[in-house]
Amino acid sequence: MKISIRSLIFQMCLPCLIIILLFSCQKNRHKQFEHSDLYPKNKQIQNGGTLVAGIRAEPESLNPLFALSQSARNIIGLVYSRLADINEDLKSYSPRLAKSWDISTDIPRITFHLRTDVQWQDGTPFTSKDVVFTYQMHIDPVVAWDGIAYKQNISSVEAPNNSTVVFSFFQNSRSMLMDAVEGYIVPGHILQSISPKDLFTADFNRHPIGTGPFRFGNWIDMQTITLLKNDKFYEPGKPHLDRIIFRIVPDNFNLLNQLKAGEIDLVEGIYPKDFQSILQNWDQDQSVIRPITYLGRRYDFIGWNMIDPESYRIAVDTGMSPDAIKNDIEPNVLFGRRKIRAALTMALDREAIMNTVNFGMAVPLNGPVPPILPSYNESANASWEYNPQKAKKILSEQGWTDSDGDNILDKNGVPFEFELLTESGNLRWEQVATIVQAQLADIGIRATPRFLEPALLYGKLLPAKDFDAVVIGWSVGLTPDFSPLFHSATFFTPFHFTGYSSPEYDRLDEISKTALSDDKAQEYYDKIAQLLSNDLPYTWLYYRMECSAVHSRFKDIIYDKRGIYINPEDWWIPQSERLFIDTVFQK
Amino acid sequence: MKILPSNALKNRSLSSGYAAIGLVFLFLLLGPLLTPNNHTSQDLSVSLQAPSASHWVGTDYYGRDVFARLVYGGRITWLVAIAATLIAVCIGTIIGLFSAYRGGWIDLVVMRLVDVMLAFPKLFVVLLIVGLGASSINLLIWVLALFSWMEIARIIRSEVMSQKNRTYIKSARALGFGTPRILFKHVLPNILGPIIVSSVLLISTIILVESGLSFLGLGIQAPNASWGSILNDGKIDPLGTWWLSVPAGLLILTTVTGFNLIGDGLQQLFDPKKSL
Amino acid sequence: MLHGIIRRLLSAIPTLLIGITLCFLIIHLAPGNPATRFLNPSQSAQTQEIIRERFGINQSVPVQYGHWLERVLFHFDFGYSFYNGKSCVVVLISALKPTLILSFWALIFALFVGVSLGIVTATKADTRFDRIINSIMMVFISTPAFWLGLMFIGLFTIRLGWLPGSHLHSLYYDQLNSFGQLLDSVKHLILPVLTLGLPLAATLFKYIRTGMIDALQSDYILAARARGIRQSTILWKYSLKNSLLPVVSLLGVIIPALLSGAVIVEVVFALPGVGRAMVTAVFGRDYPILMAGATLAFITVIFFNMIADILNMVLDPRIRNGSGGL
Repeated sequence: MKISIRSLIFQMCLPCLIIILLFSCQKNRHKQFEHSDLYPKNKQIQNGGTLVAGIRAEPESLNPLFALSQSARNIIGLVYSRLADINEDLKSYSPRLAKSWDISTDIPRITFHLRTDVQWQDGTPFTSKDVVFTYQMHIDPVVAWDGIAYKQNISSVEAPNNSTVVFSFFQNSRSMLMDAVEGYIVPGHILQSISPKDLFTADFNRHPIGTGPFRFGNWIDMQTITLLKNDKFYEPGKPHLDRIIFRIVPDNFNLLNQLKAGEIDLVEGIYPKDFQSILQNWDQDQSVIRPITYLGRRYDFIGWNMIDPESYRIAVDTGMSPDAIKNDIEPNVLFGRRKIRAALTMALDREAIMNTVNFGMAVPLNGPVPPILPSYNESANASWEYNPQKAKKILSEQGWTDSDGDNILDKNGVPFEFELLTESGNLRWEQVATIVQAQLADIGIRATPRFLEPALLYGKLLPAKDFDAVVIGWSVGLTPDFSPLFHSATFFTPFHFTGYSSPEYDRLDEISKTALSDDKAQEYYDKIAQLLSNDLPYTWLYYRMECSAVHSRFKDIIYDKRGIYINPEDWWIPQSERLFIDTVFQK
Repeated sequence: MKILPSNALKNRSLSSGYAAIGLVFLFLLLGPLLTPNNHTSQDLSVSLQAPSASHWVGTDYYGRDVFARLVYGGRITWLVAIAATLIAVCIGTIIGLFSAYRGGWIDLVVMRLVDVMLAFPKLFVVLLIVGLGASSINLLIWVLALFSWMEIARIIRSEVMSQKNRTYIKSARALGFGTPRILFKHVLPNILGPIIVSSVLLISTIILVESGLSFLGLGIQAPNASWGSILNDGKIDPLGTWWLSVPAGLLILTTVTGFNLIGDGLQQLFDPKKSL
Repeated sequence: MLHGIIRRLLSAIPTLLIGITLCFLIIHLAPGNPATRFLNPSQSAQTQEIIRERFGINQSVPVQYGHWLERVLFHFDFGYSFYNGKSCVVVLISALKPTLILSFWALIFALFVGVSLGIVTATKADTRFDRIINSIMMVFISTPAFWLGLMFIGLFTIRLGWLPGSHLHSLYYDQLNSFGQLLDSVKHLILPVLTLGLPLAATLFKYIRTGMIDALQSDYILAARARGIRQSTILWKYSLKNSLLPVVSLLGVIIPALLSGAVIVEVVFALPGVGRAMVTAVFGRDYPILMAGATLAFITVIFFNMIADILNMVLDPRIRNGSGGL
């Protein structure tokens, strides 16, 4: 083909022109809505309506015994019920399948009195046998339920009659109720005929039957999961919504576009940067998408390797005894000493990091106890203020000075430089690592960020303690139990990668679990917080807030640190605000 | 030599192609001199800003200067494509030359190998290797090369076959020259034409494949960039944040068009009968 | 000819085996393993061992390969997805439908546009019209498919709101009557089909046009004209047949290119097809799905290569008579 230069320019310009021309024309698709309240005073609740929730990954299973992903858990929470649900104070419980219970601390045991008006979504009555069966599944090693730790203290579960269940425990403990109640109840009459090892691939996982407000409708692979109103739900008159459709949208950009276009009503886990525009539009009355924030479950931190990786590798290879390793292994030349870790913590402007990376959607964190827990006590945390000068001073007292004028601290010929690892693809952590690099460079420390793929980071380097420092984050449970991270018994497990080993911590950790009164336990939690926030195996950075958004036509949504799916049976849509999607489905 | 620009002026394809590639090349070469900005420095206070005086092509999600990233990413894109092409051409040429010249069972085995590799669903296997393997530019280059040498080998082989029985080869053999010498000193110069044309076209193909992989998040990974991965950043609002998606796409388009034009033009020069 | 077909079938089998073995090695020797996703601080070592056993990754690679091969060959059982325990065969078959629909329509579109434009410009070679079409087609060959898709979404979905930018159906698809369903499907398919079909159309256009130009200038066409045969008959009966030949032989390349192009289009438009399932499986290290997909991919490519070879043999008398051939 012979093509002239002119037509070459033409073929470059033409697409540009078209694009410029067309992107300037816009349809204004946002109607002006007066922002109606989330909790209207004059409730004229009518039944009906559809909620479309967007999720990023297809749930792997709708069986609470196996599901791990967030999207699966949300759907499961709508289809199944527990004996009782935890309240906002994270201490007391509200009745669900159990209408009341008696806790006896002498024996020790808990007797649950179950509701007698509950049916499974296939019509079979719910009885105590289901609770017993569920417990058996929970502790079955073949099922390998991931919450099995909750059930360690339970010695037996018996059902003297159809509406009573007795949980007996080995030891009296403050978490007996939580241990008993954790885990959704699964239908014994359906699952007992399946051998446990076949459960993982059973058809039930894709056609769940529960006792919750919504029942399973259908599942179109890789596209949608539809839940329908459970007419047999034990709370009369609820739920109000007719259906909830979960739409699987793997890409963030598609998800947000559909949210803004009104095709999706609810999205969780919005990136803070994208959330800004949603906040702005709502505040300026430009949109009907209501922003929702609450303290989430995640925090980010820098983990320091307190032991020397090379010595550790040799010790493990040569078969050194575990105790010898824990006690005598060579400390990390950079991060082995507490004062250095303290200096590093003071050298970081953690507030700036927090605000930059989260756009204000986070709160500071200085110690191990998450702010959502009742045991959180900020005054127990050591406070390390941002003070680079002091940091430098401490470092030089420890022998780290810039003796060769290359702007990098050194000691005995060893420069203070290390690799700061993090998971590649995690924008937030990559951002943190880059900022940390810049801040540490200011005091003469060379930290080089290295972004690794998860398989390498979690599969190889962290478990083998073959790293210097890592930017990472955990999600928290409902109890202040840090033993998987810091107790010497978990020293060789993948999560305990810092190599922290402290007899004092071990002692406090064990006592706190056996403490029988809340006040006593709080004493120990405070001491743990004090210890860890002084020892600094982690430099805690911040605690994240969840950013979600919901269409404003949905009312009475209760949300707090427990999440956004706390009371889905109460959600309703006023008649005047209903849209096409609410009316298009015939029953 | 036919590929020189002086010849090019007579051929429209070639001239437009050289012009396009030349422009992009200049951009990649001189880019850093034109802007004080660094392609890695992040500044979230200016994130996602439209083009302005201080950021000619705006900023991305992290506040990084997009102009600098286009230059840096472009270098990586070109590097990967040219390196992979060179490797593929070397492998393909050597295999094609020897296989065709030797003939016999060597040829049979080699051609079976080529057939087998051609039967591979290319994108799928590349996806597998790059997606599951540790992310590194070297791996990417070698994988792309390993799945591209077959075409070249086939072309070389058919060319050499047609040259094999020519007089000058026969006389070289009669003079007792060894195989490598005959192949490289005598045969190769005569089949340079098709080799060059295939190489140029291969570069443009590889650029498209690499961009696709990077766009999926599998090719070039952070903190490195390539035009494909820049497009990945811009996919959230393709026209709203047009400075992220349009310039990178146009650069890919221009480069690929340029190389295609050069390839077409050279094809016309070397062998007008076969040209499209 | 039957002999040739059988020969090709037989040689396809070792190719298939080699390819699948290679994929198996790649998948299982890659760093990392799928169980890390299920790692949880509160799990005991025993639990982790059970999970590993569930995935079968506690055995050596050759042993795993042996098991897999045996299950596939004798029971046609490709195993169950690591992620959700669903049968791989079921997953792939349900993912196949959107991919086939997308590819089919893209191919139809590409053939229609590419062939017709190719013929028309061939008759008007070197005119202004020809050059303009050439330029436009050149752009489409050089455009990365995903960029084209993004621009389409940006324009038609976000800016103008005319067409949906993802998925195959609206949520209320089942509530529509059959005409409504048809319209809904069409609305969702337009952009993906264009994105996949335009670059292909441009490639076809190139080949058809060249073939036609050559054919139109050949001796026997001149002779036909001299005999007074009408231009349109010349076009259709004689030239087209000859220029379609290279296209048929391109089939072996076009169809796999179509399927791999579909991967990107499916990801961009969130279509639940095989391509997207594979990308998800790669990220999630879902080995059984990857192996099932690999088998499918190889069989597809080999199959279409064979079809192209056979069609070549059938249509091109030169090859059929044995003067060429592999």
